[in-house]
Amino acid sequence: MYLYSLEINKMEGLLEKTTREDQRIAKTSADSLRKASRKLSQSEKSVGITLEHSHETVRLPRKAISLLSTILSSMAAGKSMALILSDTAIGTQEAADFLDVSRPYVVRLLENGEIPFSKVGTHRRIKVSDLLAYQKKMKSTRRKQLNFLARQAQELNLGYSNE
Amino acid sequence: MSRPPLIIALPDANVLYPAPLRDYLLQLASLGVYEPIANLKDFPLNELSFHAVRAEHPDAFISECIVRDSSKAIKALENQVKSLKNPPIPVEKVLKNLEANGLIASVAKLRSKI
Repeated sequence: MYLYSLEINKMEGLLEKTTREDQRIAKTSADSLRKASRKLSQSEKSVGITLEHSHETVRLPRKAISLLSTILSSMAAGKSMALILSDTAIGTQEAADFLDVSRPYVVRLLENGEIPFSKVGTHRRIKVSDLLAYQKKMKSTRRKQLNFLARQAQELNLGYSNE
Repeated sequence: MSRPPLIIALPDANVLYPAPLRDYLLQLASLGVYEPIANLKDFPLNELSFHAVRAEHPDAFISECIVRDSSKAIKALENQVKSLKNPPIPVEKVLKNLEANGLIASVAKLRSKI
C-alpha cells in the first residue's frame, strides 16, 4: 500500500477534499506527530495511541504511523490525497501527475524502457509499484548528485564553516 | 492551493550562491517544494518578459517554502546536514551558516519547527 498525493481529477467524486479546517488541524498535529515519532527508538515495531474520549489505547504498526504522518503533512499543505494499492495500474496522465512531469515525457520514459508498462487496447498502463521503483531510482541519483556538490563545497571551502 | 512561485536561475550562476544556500535550495527542489525551471529553452527570452518574473530575496523565497510545507523544509535541512561528511557539521552550525548567508527569517522559522 502506498499513499500519494496527486491533483485530483477523475477520482474527485470518490474523495473528500481537504478543507481549510482540516488543514488548520493537520498543521498542528503533523508537527507534534513528527516530533513525537522522532523520539521513538528504531526497535519499536508498534505504537499505542490513546483516544481522547474512551481512554482506549489502540496499537498501530510503525508503518501506519509514518503513513499517518504523511497524510497529516499533505493535509497541512492543503492537498487532497488518494490511498491506492501499489499493484494498481494507472494511465500515463496520472503517472505524469505523480512524477510531476508532462505526459509526453512519461511516454518517452515508457518507450525507452525506463518504466515497465502493459497495454490495454491502445492505452498504456503503468503499475504504481513500477512507478515508485523509478521514482526511488531517480531520488537516489539526485541524492548522489547533491552529496557530490556538498563534498566539493567542503573540499574547496565554498562557504561551509564549522565555527 | 496556489501554485508555488517560479524561481529562475541560470545553471552557471549557481557558483554565485554561497554553497550552504545553494545546497538548501537544491534540497528543497529535490523534495518538490518548488519547481525550478530546468530547461531555459522552454522559455525563450523574448517570451520571458511577458511572464511575471520578479527578483526575490532568497530569505523571502525560502521563508515562503517553509510556510508552504514545513515538514519537507525540515527534511531538506536534515538531508543537507547528512550530505556534509568531511567534516560533519551539526544542524545548529548549518543553521548558522545559512544565517550568515542572509537567511535570517527562514532560519528563525526552521528553528521554531525543530
